[in-house]
Amino acid sequence: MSKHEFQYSKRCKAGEMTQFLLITFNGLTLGAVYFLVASGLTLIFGLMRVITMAHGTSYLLGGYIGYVVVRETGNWILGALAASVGVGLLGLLIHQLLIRKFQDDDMRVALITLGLSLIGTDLMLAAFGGTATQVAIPKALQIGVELPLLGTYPLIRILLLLIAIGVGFGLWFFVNKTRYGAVVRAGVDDSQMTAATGINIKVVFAAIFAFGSALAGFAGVAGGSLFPLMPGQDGTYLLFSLVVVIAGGMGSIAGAAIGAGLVGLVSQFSLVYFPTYALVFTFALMVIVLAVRPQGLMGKATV
Amino acid sequence: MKLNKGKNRIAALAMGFSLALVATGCAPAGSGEAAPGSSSAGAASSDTIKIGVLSTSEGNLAFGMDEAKAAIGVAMEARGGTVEGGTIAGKKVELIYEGTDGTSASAQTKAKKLVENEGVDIVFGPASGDEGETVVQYALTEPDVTFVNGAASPVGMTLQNAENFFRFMGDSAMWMGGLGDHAFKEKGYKKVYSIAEDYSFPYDNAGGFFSEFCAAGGEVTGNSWVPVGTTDYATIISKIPADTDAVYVGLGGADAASFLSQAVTAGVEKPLIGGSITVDTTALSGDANISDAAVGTITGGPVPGADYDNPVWKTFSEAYAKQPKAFPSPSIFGILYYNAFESLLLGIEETKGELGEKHADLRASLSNLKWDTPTGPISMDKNRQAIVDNFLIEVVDDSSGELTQKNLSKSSNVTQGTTVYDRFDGCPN
Repeated sequence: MSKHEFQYSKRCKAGEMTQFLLITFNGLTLGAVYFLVASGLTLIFGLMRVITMAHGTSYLLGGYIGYVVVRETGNWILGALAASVGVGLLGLLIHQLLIRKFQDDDMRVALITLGLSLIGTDLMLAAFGGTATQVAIPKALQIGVELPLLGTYPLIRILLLLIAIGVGFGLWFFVNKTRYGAVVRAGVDDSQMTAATGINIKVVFAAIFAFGSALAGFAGVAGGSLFPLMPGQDGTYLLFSLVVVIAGGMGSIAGAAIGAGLVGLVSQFSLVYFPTYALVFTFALMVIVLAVRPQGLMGKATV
Repeated sequence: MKLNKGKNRIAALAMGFSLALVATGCAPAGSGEAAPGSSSAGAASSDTIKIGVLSTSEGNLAFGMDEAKAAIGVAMEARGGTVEGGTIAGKKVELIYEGTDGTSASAQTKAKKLVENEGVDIVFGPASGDEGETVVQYALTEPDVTFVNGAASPVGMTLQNAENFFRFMGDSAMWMGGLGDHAFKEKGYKKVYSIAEDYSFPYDNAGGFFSEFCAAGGEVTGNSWVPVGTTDYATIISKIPADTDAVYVGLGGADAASFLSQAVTAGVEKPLIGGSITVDTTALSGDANISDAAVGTITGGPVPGADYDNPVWKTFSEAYAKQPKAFPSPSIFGILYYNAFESLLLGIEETKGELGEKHADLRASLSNLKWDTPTGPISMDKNRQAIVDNFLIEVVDDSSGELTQKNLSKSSNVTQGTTVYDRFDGCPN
């Protein structure tokens, strides 16, 4: 091998390595968006065991609220706040008026939330139209930063990853390490017994539903800053967050994080190596996980 | 009780999903089956002409239906009618709209519904590539119904000998006519990387560009065919080799908007060559910050740039702007649906509203139609495929910071080639 050829092949290998790392990092940052959406669902569906088909609609609504507020005020943080509060309050209203009464009747709750999602999506189509929009991000953030090994990488994706890690750690701490988290877990395991200890379980459930919805609204602004907001995205994100929550293990924050990371990685790698089958692989991931571990990666086995 | 609950939850989830699928129009292709005999072959003597309109109302190209209605609104209002119908050449014309999600399955279901349940005389549509190929196949099985294409542009559609199918626009390979030479000779791009969606329209669109570009001496440094609906392009962008002069972007709608905004954040510095729907008015009028990526992009297609000057165009775009949900300027769907629908109405007027035995009169008048559309003169070849003018345009930043399209040149009387393109690696064969 001549010196020239050697250098070439070395450079080629380095290129492949960089690309492999880039795809991995892209997968993780995409997973960060999936995790933000799924974190709300892991509270509502995973922990409270309330089947909501309207989670994707909450995501899209949050995105649109953020889009309007950011367009009017130019302040991204205000947009994220408005989306979280707005969607959270709406979630609370829906829970109080429509879901609370039937919380133990899965079939009814699924149908009610499905109906809400269809109505909500059509209302948003009427209000915002069928074309794609995006939440504007400050121009200073629309740059690439130099990363070791990777070269230039979009700053916004790094920020999203950090936000997701922050939200994930906060949630894990809240659910597993605080008194309120213990109350929630106790309420889910045995609501009558928890109520008997003097805790107002109705308030706890209402608060969790509102908080889960608020997380979806926030995720809409975060995701909508990177990806388009338009009709159809609601279904996509509902589907992906269900895959994340089910594969990760119901109610486990760590499981949702691992699940989201895996879904992001699988979709990015398959986009490069098997683009035609990118979607198939994502669902194959869920099938394989459930075949090997029916309770999900981090889920507790039920008796 | 406790044991049963888990099962219920899964059942509820499964049911929820199947309902969601039905509601979004993903029903199996055969579910639009109608009672036999409801087809309206004998409508020739009736006083009402029923036109069924197909366009996209969901998915990546969800704005298609709004544009179809705006186009039909312009043509009908010029004759005292409305978007719902009116009187043309003494006959009552009734319009029935069906929205699709841009897939063949949904186009097939909705076309069958229009013909078999609604009993329409004429099917007008669809909007998107794969849908068009399906509707042509369906047209072959319904010889008594006349089909006028909306905006579907795969090359092969008018090479199937469907005597009842008319297309009043260029195909997607014709739309790229002249762009390959321009990129190589004027812009000096020698090596181009290709990113395009994985379905029939981008195959033909990219095929038209690259066949000319390669013939001129250009080289392809790689092809990425991505699934429709891909919103994350970070990885695809990282695959563009460093020694590439320019990137061909054959994406549309939301996919194009995603790519352009991510090209800005990822710092893509290569100039872009757009497919025919990549940098159209729907992408440029969005709120995402795409100007760094979009400015300087060259593209070709049936839509002229903003500085196009033609009296017919002026009349049309003024009427278009009055339509509900109109874009700042007509999109490719708006223009193509208008040209086709106006052609159809001119054909009906030519025969004084008589469709004739098995629509023979209408088809003869459509085959011989010649008129000056807003985008230039149109005439038909023997395959009922239009011979049209085509535009080369460049995206520029106007003085106020808005993105707009500037005309580079116009090719007149572009005729159809016979190559039907499939997915290709490197240069198309």
